[in-house]
Amino acid sequence: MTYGSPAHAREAKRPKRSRPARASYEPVDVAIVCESTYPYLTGGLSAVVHQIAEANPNRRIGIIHIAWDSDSPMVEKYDVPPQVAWVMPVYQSMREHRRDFLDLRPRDARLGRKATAAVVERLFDALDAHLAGDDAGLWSLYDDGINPLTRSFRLWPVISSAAFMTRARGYFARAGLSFTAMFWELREFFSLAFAVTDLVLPKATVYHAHTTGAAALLAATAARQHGTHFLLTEHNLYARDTINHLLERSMDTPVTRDEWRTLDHYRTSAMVPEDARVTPRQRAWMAWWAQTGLVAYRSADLITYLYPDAIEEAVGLGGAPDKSVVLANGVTPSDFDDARAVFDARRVQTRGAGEDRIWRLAYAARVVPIKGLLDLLTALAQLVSEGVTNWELDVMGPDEEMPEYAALCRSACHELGLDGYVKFFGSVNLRERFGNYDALVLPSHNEGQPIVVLEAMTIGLPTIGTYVGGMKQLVEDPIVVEDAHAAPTGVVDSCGLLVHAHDVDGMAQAIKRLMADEFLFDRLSENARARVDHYFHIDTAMALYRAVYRRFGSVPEAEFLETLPVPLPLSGQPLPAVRTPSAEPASAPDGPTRRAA
Amino acid sequence: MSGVSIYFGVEHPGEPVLARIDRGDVVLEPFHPLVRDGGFADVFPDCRRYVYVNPTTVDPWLYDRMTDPPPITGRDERWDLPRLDLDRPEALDWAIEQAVAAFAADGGRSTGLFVDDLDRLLPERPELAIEYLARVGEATPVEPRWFLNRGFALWPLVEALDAVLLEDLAPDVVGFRSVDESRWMDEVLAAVRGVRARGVRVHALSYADQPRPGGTAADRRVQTELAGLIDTVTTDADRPLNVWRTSR
Repeated sequence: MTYGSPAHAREAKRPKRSRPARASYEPVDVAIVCESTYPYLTGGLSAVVHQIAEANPNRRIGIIHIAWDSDSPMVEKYDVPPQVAWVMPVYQSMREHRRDFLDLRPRDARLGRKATAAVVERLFDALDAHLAGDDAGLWSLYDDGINPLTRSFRLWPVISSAAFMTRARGYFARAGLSFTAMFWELREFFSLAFAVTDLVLPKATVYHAHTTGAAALLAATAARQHGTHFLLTEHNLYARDTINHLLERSMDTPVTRDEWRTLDHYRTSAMVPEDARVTPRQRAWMAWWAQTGLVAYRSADLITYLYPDAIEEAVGLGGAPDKSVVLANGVTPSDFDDARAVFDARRVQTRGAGEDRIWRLAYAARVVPIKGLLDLLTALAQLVSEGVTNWELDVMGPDEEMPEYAALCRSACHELGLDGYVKFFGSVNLRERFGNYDALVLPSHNEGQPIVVLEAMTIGLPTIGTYVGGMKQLVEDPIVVEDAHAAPTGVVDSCGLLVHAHDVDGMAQAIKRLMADEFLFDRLSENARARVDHYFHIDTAMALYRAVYRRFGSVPEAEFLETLPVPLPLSGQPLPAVRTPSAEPASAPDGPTRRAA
Repeated sequence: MSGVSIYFGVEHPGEPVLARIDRGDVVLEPFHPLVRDGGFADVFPDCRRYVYVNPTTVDPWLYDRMTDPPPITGRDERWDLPRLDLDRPEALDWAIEQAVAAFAADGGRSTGLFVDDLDRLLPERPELAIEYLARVGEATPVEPRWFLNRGFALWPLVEALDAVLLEDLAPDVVGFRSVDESRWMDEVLAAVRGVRARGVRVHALSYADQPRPGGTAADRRVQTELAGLIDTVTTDADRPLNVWRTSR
């Protein structure tokens, strides 16, 4: 992970450009669908999409880029490889669809009064069936009233009809919205649905959506339109994160598919937490995100998650473990050769130094509450009070997002007696800096599978972190190494020390333990690199993505003989069982293992 | 961090010094026994150690014994130091070699380098100062952290900045008689505010032992703000270089 000048994005070898609009888009093997990311914005998700694009030189790839409107960034931030045949923009804002959506009147449906009433009834029946677990009615309505290739009428003008609003008033009577508010909310939802479903999409063998929401809805309809496949990758749990963000709730709060019906009172995680009540409008949006997520889960042919626990948590949102697999992120070790050299030189110098050594701790994340920096500062103050002072912490990451929180962290340093021990670097190029540290400390309250930890592991930094998201899999779960005949040849153990989120004392003890035990440090450092080499390697991750694409019929000749580095239960083999989360995270060595070639 | 000590001799510190600087920054020359022979952490278990380097001078004792000395422009009047002729590339090369060797003097266990006299390169030769810091950073196997004496304009450019020294700028003695001086002080204050926000330690050193008498309201405003931004002050009137002393 980097800030400012991203490490994920290669240095520009040619001027970046924006692509001209096209009249048509030729068929491709894989259409990658993502929202407000690649190739126009940088970040973890964009980095993964770029890796996928680069790792498939024998496939024709298209990028369907969903943006808010035509003013959104459109200058490429990556050197998009030549196999990417096109980047197709899709805009969500209503102002981009004035003629085709905003200006529609009931008469534009060209249906008589009775036919309009019948469509209205069909729509609400489809909603009822969807809530009961059956989306066939919704898809039938898509075929007949939305899909430009098959429709016999247009659904959108119907939602402006008196028949629809009358029916909606009764149907949503318990939502608590005024008639006017309900009208505009429904119009907002339908406009979002219109933007990603009412268009002819380029043909692709596989539509690969990254996250639920608009991207998944578009990919699902595209696969329906062309009778091909829909692959969903959930980098994080989009519905959970979006709903928690909407409610200003702690991002690690579990969200269930029915919470929009059941939640009434809750507590915010603002800097000054408050008791709050779900407003009707919030409830409507919770329902929108939860239910569109359900449509995506049900229609996906395969869902990939970054770590096993995400499959389990997605079940609460309506996820489908029977068609879900884990496909972890990967990193390219050679990108970090310089940082490794610096790290190795530092290790040689500090070996045997005992207390004659200043431990350099790296915090590399945004300075926002969810990343837990205040917890870490409190833990470090505890170390100082215990006389442990041979360490310094560099806080690296942007702090503009919540300036009041950044200011609070700075004043906390002073109040906790940490002046001089903690530096705020702001945005830096981590790829250049990481080799100068002894450990990464990530006290987050919520994570997916953070790229920054993978990068730290690649260099050899042990990670001190929290049991959130995919951290346990990334840092702690043993990895079984196998030879070419699938015979186990060894196990790679933990590369860090994890504590529960918010556990300040545990964090302090973990840091102290690492600093006091050189043997432990060496072991964790060696394991960190080995875990990347054997499992979280870019070649492994990309081979798995290619295997998934092959399963859906995208089989370039050049890939026939490719050996899969990690067995993936695809092509008719049973999909992996969902494991039971271990009751006690500290007992991880006895827990489940990952396989690696 | 409670203090700072900048020492130019070879003696071990006495108890009073140790008592006053239990957690702070200690600057030593590369030939000090605690650097050369080790043992710093035994004497200063909770301190950071910085090795003194200077891109503009040659140690006079060393210079007099060199068979192939680097080019100099002469000796300065205040300190009688041989000043490197930085118009000649070999002088800068020599200074960089000295800094790299200084950082390696204790096997690279020092926290970083204390760089003196950067102001002599500013504002006319900022490129030399930047080149010096960049090349020293690249030539050392691990990154040195920096403790810079003044060189205010460089502070935003130095990523791994640990501490700064405001030589001749202790709050009690600042006072300005001209508009230019006031403007310059505003720039200094902005630079100090900037590094404080980054968590950089700010030390002040004064050669005057008495507070400046009088002063305008503007002076007092500057003095008050500066005092709020500074971690430690060392008052060092009639300063013999090889006497251990610490901030108050």
